[in-house]
Formats: sequence, structure tokens, C-alpha cells
Amino acid sequence: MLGVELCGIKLDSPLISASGILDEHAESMIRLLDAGASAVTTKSIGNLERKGNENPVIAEVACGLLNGMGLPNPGIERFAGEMEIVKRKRANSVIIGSVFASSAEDFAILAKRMESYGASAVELNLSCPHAKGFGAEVGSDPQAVFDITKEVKKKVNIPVFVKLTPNVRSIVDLAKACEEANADGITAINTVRGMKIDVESFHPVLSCRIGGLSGPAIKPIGIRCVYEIVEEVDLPVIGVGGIVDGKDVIEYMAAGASAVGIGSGVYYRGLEIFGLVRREMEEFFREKKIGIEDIKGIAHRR
Amino acid sequence: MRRVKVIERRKEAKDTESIYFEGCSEALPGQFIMVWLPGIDEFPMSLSRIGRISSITALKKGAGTEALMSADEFSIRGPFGNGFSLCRGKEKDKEKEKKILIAGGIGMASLLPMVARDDTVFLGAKSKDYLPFVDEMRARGADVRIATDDGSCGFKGSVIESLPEHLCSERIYACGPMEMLRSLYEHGIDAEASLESYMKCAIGICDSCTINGFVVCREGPVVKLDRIFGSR
Repeated sequence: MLGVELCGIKLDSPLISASGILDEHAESMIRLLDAGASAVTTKSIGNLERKGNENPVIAEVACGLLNGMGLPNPGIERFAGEMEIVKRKRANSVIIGSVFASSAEDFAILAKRMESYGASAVELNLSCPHAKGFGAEVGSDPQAVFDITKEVKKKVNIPVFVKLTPNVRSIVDLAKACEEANADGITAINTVRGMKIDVESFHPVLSCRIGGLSGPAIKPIGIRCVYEIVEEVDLPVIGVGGIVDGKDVIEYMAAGASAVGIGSGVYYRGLEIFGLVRREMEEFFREKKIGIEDIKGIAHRR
Repeated sequence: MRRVKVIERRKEAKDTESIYFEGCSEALPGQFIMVWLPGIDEFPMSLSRIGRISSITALKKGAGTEALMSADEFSIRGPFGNGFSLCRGKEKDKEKEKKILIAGGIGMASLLPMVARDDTVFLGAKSKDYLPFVDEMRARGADVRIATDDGSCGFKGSVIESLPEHLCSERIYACGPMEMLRSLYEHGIDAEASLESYMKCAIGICDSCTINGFVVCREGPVVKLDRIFGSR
């Protein structure tokens, strides 16, 4: 009932787990799959192991979470072991390998490695807002997005998704660069740059000072970005940002998303969120007597 | 996140100090808080006493705990985690039954709120200088048995080696370094243990504290050892 197809990959629901949430260890990814995620996006993996930023790396704010993890990851070499375990224990699982680098060449090498580990697709993290020299620092310029995407597309055969930042004048310009470079799809959005200051001590709470806002607070921004991209660009979009319940997914799909990523929602509702959202969507479709195929991009026609 | 004032400090052992503050009266034994010293560090601490005035107990180790020991105020998030099973839900009526508690050094802090009359406590440390809470637990009526690595107090050797051959109690609780908990499990004792793991987000999303698929900060830190060390 909820099945969708994304660049030729069949998913039993549009509910993908977003990068950064319980996805650094094989056993955690297996738990996401068992909880009902139709695909798991891995933690963003780089060339070398990184510890990430010092604590505090998270702050709870009204209607959202502010994080500044700083891309902690075991490095592409060691991540092979985690991928191997997931592929062995859950043979037909769909894994989207997220990677980050500071040059087109490194992106291509990492993407190639992810392909060799058995990833069904790669996601290029061109949008992390809190790691110096990576993420949005390279992904805010349409030319850089084009060059990186182009280089990766030359080297891998699996679908390439590009995860974009909303912290730019025009996310559509970035999406167009992806399309020109023959990306297979777009993931939108990454977190929105934000900050929290503790008024008792007057210290910025996050050790990296400025971080990324996620959760319900950013859903309207995510919906707007997906809608704008779908208006101008003919690529499938994975909608991410503030999804907590079934209606949030419906809203993203009405804006034109082909699938969605759930991240901070795991904090709000636990791992059960995948099963719960599934049931809420089924309920919605039953009540309205429509199917999932009827709603994609429907808001563009109203 | 909220700011708390240090009300009192108490030296518990060498380099070991309890810091008392107002709040966390509703917390369960085994739960933890994230302690933030602005500009220095944020780290997890078990609650060692719970009430209108609660305490955490720190062993001096790095800039964070050192700053905590001289701070007049600090910020906290939490309490987080599940707590020991006998202190929650339907297990609660068993709270009065005799318990066996096994701790390595400062690990005793997370078990301390449960220590009561007639409990048996096995406490290990590297030497007699590093044994926290002993007088307090004896004053509560617990039978405290000590093991030290150098033999300067009690049994000479590890706390695991000091355990009697057959420990018969369903209620065995433990806290200490991972190696100690592993050796306890390999001893055939599937205790309920509070795990020490490096925590970053403390709210169950970042995957940095996860052990064998078990999300320590949110699903733990208390867990049956079999979930961690058993083959799955």
C-alpha cells in the first residue's frame, strides 16, 4: 500500500532513516531496518576517522534540536566492517551510503568505496553546517555542487543523491546544478543554521557555537524547499526536515517528494516512529479513499 | 537545561568528591544527568544521592571534573535513562528485599541510592585510598566487603575474584568499568548493570554510546549483562 520506487530502487514505504541518526554502528542500522525504515542512510563517512566536536553537541530548543556533532565517523576504511555486517544479517536491505569530503576527487573515491561495500545509492553531504571545510562550506556554491556531482557520477554506477543546504539564497540554483551534472536525485533539506546562548553564563551552548536546527521548527522550510525544487527541477527528491507523524510525510509528498527522511523524529517518538508513521499514513489513505500514487506533487496542481 | 548552585561538597576518597545541589528529587537510582561547565566540557554523571538535595560524585580525571570540583554553579540536562528495574514499575514492591551490589571504584556512585539495611556490597578499588562511601553504607546497615588491587584493605585482588563461589540472589546489581562487567558476566553472573559509555547527545540519536545495538543513553544505562555480552 505504501510502496514507492526511487531511481529504480523499490522501497516498501517512503520512510527512509535520515543520515546522522543511529547509523554509525551496524547493529544500530539493523535496528532501524527492523523498526520499519525502508532504507537506512548511513552516518556521513569521510576519508579518515574524526572524533567530531567536543561536548556539548546538542541543545534542546523550542520545537527542535540544535546540533553541532561535527561529522564524527570511523573513516571509510573501518566503515567497511559495519556495512558488511548489515549486508550479511539483512541481505536485501537498502543502504544509502552518505559521504563527505572537501574535493570532488575525494567525494568520488568515497562514493566508489560505498558502492563496493554494497550500498544501493550514495548521498553526497554537501550541506552539514558545522564542520570546517566540509558540508555546506563546499556545497553552497552551485559550481562546486556541479563539479563534485559530475565527478562522482563519472565513477559510480549506483544512483547519486545530493543533500542540499537550505542556508543559501536559492536552493533551486543548487538543485539545478545537480540536474545539469546528471545527479539521480536530491535530498532536501539538511539542518538550518542556528544558535543558542545560555543566559546564565552567556556562553554559546554548542562547543562549535553555531550548529544546525532540526525538528518540527524547520518543517515549513523543508516543505518550501522541496516545493521550489520540484517546480524547477525534474529529479526525484527525498524530503527531510521535521517529520514526526504520518501527515508530515503526506505534506512532503504533496510538495513533490518521492520519499522522505526521518531523523530527529526518532528523538520525539523513539525507534517506533517508523511503524507509527506507517500506520498513520495507511489510516489517512483509507479515510480519504486515495492512494500514495495520487498525492505526489499534488499541491503544485492546486 | 538548568543552572544549579553547589550547596555542599564532601570528600569521599582520594581525588573523589560529592557535589550536592538542589533538584532531581524525582530521579530513579541508576539515572544520570549531563553536567555542563560552560567553556570547559559536558559529561554524564550518575546521581549518587537522590532527594530534595541530590548529589553527584566525581573522580578527578581531566579538565571537566577538575572544574566541577571548584565550581560554585553548573548546568544540568536530564535526568536521563531508565534506572534500575527494582525502582520502577511493578518491580517496585521488591525494593525492600535483600540485594547484592558489586562495584568497581567510583562505579559505586550509581548504586549508592539503592544501598539499604542487610544488603551485601562488594566494593573493589586499586587501594584503600580509593574506597568511597564505605562508612555511609555501613551506617545504613549494609555488609560492605572490600577488595583492593594492592591488598592495602580487605581482599587482595579484583572485586570479581573476591566474590564467593555461589552468589544466590536474583537481585544482583553492578557498576564499574566494562572489563569488570565482562569478567562478572564470564563468571556466570547476569547482573543488572549500569554501563559507562562515552555519551554525546544523551537523548538517543547520535549513536556514539551504542554498544551491540543497545542505545546506552536512552535504553540504558541499566541493562542485563546478557544483552551486552551474550551472543545474539
